[in-house]
Amino acid sequence: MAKVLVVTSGKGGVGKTTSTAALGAALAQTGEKVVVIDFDVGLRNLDLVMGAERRVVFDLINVVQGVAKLSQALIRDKRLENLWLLPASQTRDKDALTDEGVGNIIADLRTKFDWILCDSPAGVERGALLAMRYADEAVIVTNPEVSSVRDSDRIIGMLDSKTVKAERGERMEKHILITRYDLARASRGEMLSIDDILEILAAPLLGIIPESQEVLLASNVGSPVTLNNAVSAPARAYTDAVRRLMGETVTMTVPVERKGLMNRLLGRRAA
Amino acid sequence: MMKLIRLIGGRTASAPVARERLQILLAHERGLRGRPDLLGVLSQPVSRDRTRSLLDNRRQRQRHPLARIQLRKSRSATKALEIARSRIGVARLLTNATWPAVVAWSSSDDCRPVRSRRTADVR
Repeated sequence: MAKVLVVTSGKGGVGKTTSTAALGAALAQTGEKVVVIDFDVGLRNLDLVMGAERRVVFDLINVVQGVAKLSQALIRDKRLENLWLLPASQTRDKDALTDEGVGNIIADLRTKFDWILCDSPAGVERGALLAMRYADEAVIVTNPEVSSVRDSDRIIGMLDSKTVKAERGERMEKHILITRYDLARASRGEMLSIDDILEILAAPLLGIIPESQEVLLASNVGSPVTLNNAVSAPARAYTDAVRRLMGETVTMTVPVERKGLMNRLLGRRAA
Repeated sequence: MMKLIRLIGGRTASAPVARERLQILLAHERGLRGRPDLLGVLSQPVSRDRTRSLLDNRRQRQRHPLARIQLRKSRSATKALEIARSRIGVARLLTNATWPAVVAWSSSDDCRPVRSRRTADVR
């Protein structure tokens, strides 16, 4: 049975799109059939992070408005045959997204895929609400920083009140994904600790993604970090998070970079 | 060691400040959103905080990990609660409420009345 997962946060720039691409690719690597949907109308970037920006012909709004069929708008990943992308429109008005239209698309995708990952835009406006509207579970991406945690708390309130599940009186399962975590700064008391964040948001932890230049390197070349360098610290953290999503019990750790002698000597590598 | 480095560098850990600010802010905002769960936050089990207080190096927390408050739950009913010191910010928000309201507090076993509703000092 298909599962609809919304990747959301409230605050912008915390890593929603990066996390959607990384989780989607990691799920597809396990053999699951996955589609990632970009709900950020006007500011789409999931196509860029996935390296499919030149292949976009039709988009989500074209499908909602009946200009194109769903099969025409879906883009198959070139590296993983069971990973698909449904891009957002870059130019159209976000009011073109309708509740009914999105509901029909999600219902159609449920019959074709195992996992449907909805990449939410920042904010609490129409796009963000529609991204979470039909979700079964939510991944709340947050940085260990006050404004990000505050906005995540607001989003949790919306997940509990504005989704179809909430309207039916069902409980929406939520997972916290902490990104850009710096172990050294946290241990010096310069960054909110994991315990602090979890106590404030009162939701279970899905994973801790360490701050790493590998994330930027991967987006530079248009590849989800889990595909670009599977042994890097963030890739391992995302892979563990996916295993938890699939019901496995995986010990929670903060992966650290394994630096070779050459990397240590040269400091960094260019993408 | 970290304390020594911080002392030399002249920097203080800002995470506890961030945590305290967030707790107070979110307690307020949740109330505005129709989620007045301040009482829920205060009533959460304190066992986790007991464990944390043992791990925490700050002397104050080691000495007094818990605070005792007297909570007026309705017009007639009151209840004594032991809360973690980390939740004092939330308790402070309830000192000006009608009910549920914090009407007395203490850091030890006895429980003194809140001195003044406006200037209640729960530290």
